[in-house]
Amino acid sequence: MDVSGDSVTLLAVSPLAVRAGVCAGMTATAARSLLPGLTLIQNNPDGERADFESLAAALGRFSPRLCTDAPRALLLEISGCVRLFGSESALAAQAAAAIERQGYSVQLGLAENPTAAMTLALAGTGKLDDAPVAALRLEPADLSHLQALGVRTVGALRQLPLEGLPARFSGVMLARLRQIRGDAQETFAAFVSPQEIEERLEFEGPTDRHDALLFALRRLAVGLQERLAAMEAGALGLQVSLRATDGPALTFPVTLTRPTRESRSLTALLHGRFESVDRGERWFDGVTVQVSSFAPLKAPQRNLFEPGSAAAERSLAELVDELAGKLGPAAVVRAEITADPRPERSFTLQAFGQAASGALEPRAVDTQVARPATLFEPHEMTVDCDESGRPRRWQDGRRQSGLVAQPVERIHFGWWVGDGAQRDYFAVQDDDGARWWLMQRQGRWYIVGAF
Amino acid sequence: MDGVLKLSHGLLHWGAMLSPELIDKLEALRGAGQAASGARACLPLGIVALDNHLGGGISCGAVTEIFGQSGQGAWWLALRALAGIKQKTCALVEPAGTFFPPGAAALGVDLGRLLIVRESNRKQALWALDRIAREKHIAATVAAIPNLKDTELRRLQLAAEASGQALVLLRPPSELSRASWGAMRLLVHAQPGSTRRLVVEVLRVRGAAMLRPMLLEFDDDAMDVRISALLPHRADHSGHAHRAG
Repeated sequence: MDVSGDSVTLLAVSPLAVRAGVCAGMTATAARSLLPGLTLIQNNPDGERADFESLAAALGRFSPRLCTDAPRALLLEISGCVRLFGSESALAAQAAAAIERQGYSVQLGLAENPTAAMTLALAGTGKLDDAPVAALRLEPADLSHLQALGVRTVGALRQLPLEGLPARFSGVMLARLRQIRGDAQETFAAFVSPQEIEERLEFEGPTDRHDALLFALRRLAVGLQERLAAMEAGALGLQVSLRATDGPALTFPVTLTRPTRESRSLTALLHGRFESVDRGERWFDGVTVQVSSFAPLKAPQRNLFEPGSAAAERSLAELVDELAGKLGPAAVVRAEITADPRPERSFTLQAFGQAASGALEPRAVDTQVARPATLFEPHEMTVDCDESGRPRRWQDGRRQSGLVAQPVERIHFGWWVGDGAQRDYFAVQDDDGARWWLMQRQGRWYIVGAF
Repeated sequence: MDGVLKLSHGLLHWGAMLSPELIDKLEALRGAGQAASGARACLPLGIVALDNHLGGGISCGAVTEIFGQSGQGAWWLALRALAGIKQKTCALVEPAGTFFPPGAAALGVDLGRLLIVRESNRKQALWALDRIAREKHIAATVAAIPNLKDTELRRLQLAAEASGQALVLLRPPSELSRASWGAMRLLVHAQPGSTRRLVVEVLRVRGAAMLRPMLLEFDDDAMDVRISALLPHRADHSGHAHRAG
């Protein structure tokens, strides 16, 4: 409904309301007299325009030449693109599916010229002559005049003698008749796709329901897929913003390992990340997802020689993104060996998706040096040594054990690191046969690892 | 099935003409055919005697539980399984955050292809393990999550069956009394002595008779197993009662 001054006018009505006799253009009072239980929803011109533009941008993948007759129609010049989709009807079906995936219904019209296509789409009929004259977007005076003459369809209008019409009708109707025949060209505003990819959803009312918010994110992921497909791109980073009814918006970034546009993957990432953020007791009335960075994404190619390799790479990237989205990038890592002799610094952890660091070759690991499987925080203990300084017996609280020590490994490092400059490490075996890694530093002993 | 398998082999060369979905279905059919032929896919541990004893190694597409005290070789055995995997991605889920990558690298684990999940929250770590276990492009996963419940284990076993992964769970001996849903259950413990000696007890192998424990004696200079020998069954095996899953 549209509110202007004191009058409330219906802009669109549901099929159920139509059955009760309610139609668009009626005032709310008149409609309520026919259907007392009528639910009215306030229109949102800004939101509708944004949605319309988002839809237009998504359809850019079907044709580079796109015009709009906002806010009701989009025109695609498809003559050069049909061969890419097989046929006109195949292209139309794919475009309709893309729109419906975003939750909209669509009426399509395919014709030789834009005016005829627009008329067919607005009428929802397959034949131009069957279309009602209202679908020609005529002046109200022309429409009432035609109604008085009993001319209801375009076919009937076209049978009228053209030479007698100028005196009775406006120039718009005559122009429309020429345009529909292709004798003149109707002009529409060309649509320029925005460089920013952003999808948003306004809720009908504030909500704190978990499932409703997840649903909203899924819907937006579908929209993002269409927009990214139109740009032949995949998202590398997303910025999510949930508008709270009181207080600041809840925002969080989502980082991807590789360009992705599949709505299923994006949904999994958005859901995972959303579930890991603390949203407190807040209620939200809208959500926006913006693609903060993206990269070109070619159509997937099947590798003939290794049928699964591309799929494996994609699947693993999805897994890593999903894990990192939920647990945070610092929790999903791979290790790289460094040149630092200190065990706790002998490796670094990096985000799994990142390429190897600056090192040309990963540092080779000396497989002839004993290294434990686990390394823990140094825990000080009492150790008895023999004359040569090798550990012989250890005591840790009430636990004690004899030790069989393996060759000592002495680690030196520069005094400038300020860490005692020297440590001795011993692989030792206790009375039970368990093997540990002990460290001696400045006369004190610590257990640091287990084999 | 043979006809379909031959067909699928031939058709894979025509990848460009077939939809990815059809190729995936044919590959799945081929996998099902191999499973139906009775051959158990195994991941070798790289110790010939132990691999032969276990019928090829630990099972792919199943959970293998390795029980052991800290410092007594359970980690070593699990990392041996990862070291046997080349050119494929493996994963490690370890909430304690004590995993020492140089130790794994020294055993031959390809760190570049090891996805490490360091998540201290048990619930989150379990979610990550469950998600990883369902990923068919990960060859093997090692996880050390304490206090796994029966339902969690069952879920992990089903995930491994679906993905074909070798899923190795490191568990403390205190959890030996819990039910087993996995295909294999091993207990590793050290033996006193001047050299490193580990005993691998096979507490359960799905579809096989009780296997004898195996003693592995290490050569500390070569950093590898020097001698292996089968031991007689332990009299107190009943103490490690395990209900079949």
